[in-house]
Amino acid sequence: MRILLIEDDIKTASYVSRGFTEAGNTCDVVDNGQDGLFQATRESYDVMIVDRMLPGLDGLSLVKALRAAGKKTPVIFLTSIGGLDDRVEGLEAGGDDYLVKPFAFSELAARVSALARRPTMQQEQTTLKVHDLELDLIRRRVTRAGQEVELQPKEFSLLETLMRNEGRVLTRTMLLERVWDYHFDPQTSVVETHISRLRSKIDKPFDTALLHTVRSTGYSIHAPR
Amino acid sequence: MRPVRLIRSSGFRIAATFTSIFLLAAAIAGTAAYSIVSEELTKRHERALDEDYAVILSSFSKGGLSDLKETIDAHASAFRSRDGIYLLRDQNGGKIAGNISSAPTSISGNFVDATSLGIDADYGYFIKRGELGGHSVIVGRSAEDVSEIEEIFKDGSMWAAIVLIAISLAGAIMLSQRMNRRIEVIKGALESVSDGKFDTRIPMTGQGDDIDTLSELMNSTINRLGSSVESIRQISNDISHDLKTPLNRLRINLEEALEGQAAGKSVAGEIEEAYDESIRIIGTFDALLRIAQIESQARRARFAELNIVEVMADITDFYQASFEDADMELGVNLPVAVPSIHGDRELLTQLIANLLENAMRHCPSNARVTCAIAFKDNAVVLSVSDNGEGIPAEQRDNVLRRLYRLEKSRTTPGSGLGLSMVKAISDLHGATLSLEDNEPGLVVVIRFPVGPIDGAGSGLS
Repeated sequence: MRILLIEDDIKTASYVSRGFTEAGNTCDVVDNGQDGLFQATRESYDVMIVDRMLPGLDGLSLVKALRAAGKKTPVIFLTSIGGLDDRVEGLEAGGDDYLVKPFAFSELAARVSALARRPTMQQEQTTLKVHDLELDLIRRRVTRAGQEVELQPKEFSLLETLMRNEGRVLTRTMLLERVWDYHFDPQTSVVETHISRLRSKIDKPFDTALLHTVRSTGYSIHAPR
Repeated sequence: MRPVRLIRSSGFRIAATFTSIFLLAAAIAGTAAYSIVSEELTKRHERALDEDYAVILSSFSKGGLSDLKETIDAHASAFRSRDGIYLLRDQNGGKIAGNISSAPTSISGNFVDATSLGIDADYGYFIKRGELGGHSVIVGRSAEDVSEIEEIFKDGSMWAAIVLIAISLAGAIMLSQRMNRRIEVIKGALESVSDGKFDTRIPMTGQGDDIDTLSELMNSTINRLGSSVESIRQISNDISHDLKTPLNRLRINLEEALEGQAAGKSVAGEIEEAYDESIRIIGTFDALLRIAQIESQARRARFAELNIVEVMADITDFYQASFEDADMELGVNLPVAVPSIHGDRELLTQLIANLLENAMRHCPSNARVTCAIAFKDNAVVLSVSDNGEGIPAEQRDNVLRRLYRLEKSRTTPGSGLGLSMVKAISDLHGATLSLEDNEPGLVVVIRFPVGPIDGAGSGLS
């Protein structure tokens, strides 16, 4: 993955770029808005990570300019502005995701990889398949090894979201946003409870586990490796 | 009050301007009245002169010079020369009859001064002249009354102006003093606000005039300013008091880790503890900022009509499994339809979530928590009740304070911000929040008045 990081805080920039480089990605770092915009238009990246408070040109204006220039590179805003409206403002400016500082690198990595590999043109899929688990989007039916699995509507959405991102880690907050459209931080383990309910239906009765917990990060569904 | 300040005061200026306009109007009206009266008098004199002259003319045409002389003598003796003059002269200018001895030989116009007729007076005469058989006749009427009227008008208007100016000056001083008193009060109040006393209010006179309207606006501005400052003050207090403790714990963890490392021990445990502590500190900090933002009311810009029943159904569905796992029962009692309310879906979701998490955290297992929505007395009433231990009546106000936690709940997780966020969100929606006794247990009731929300002078955008 080629990542462009536009961040003026040296400590955060080196922390993030080291993380991505160690995972085998290329991460270019720019420390101000104008150079960031120049770099983003000159070269092609899979994902851009943009701080909102930047010297020269602020993050929102940068992304607006980028979108006006027709660049569709996915953008995730990174910021210490944890305001209620800032997420909406960021998305309205043309951002694709939003992460508030301070953050865990695993959360950023999960969000970046979800953005980077987001298919540009989603071909009409009617069934999702992971190993022997099948999800029929039309009839809203789930089977594992040919056996029908009864799911509640939200459990179905949760499984669908996980399966559409097969092999990728989805964090607790990403699931909250994508499955329930909730943007607050529950103080109790609600998401975990829903995952364990789902797990007891799709994994427990079978030999191999498909739904995996990634320690201190989130969850991922994939075939046994 | 110093004279300069009096003259500069807007009350005085208004009164002075008004007086000038009034004086000008009075002057125009007076001049008009005077000219009408004097014109009327002049006409009368001219008519009388015409009549006199006609009589003299007819006496001459009937009886010749002797009759003319007689008539003029008769007229002249009937009038004092102050009131009317008559003079008949021969071709050489010698007096034949009349009550004055001389007259200017060449008079132009029909008005002459008294002195040119040899009379000692300061007014003039309307005159009419004619030639009858080589003799010249002058008939005149005194314009004394016209001059007197002019005098009266001059004197009268001077006195009227003096009285008018005196009264309006007194009025101006009174008016400006009254205005100044009110302005002084407002000035005093604003000075006290700038000294940081945000509980100051400008007193209203109750007259509902423009100054009252302005004062009301200023009061609501002071109120808003006060609550913003209070909220900033509160948050800095909260941070300094309540984040210090966990920050100190974090420091101790790190110190222990450093000591352990120096002693060559494994310090993974200490570092993990420090990490968890930092996560909690960030959580508390975020919650504090979020509450402050909700209280700033800026969020109202994104308000929309929404169905609270739907919001409640979604969030209770989300928490149902967690309640089951905690061996608690979550009952949901929703009506088919209630009027929609004007609000923020995300924040209302958070409000209910906080109440549910509070109930889950503080109730024993087997407790029953009930969420309900009803419509009564023109309000949509949302309630979350439990049959746990409840909150003692005397502590119910305290729990709405930031970071306040009942002594017994110090050991349970949570930032202590859940209920204060609920309070902030319900305030933002113009709703009233009350904590009541569920006998046993706690019931949190939030009443959303239906109809436009009337915020404290904020105005909806």
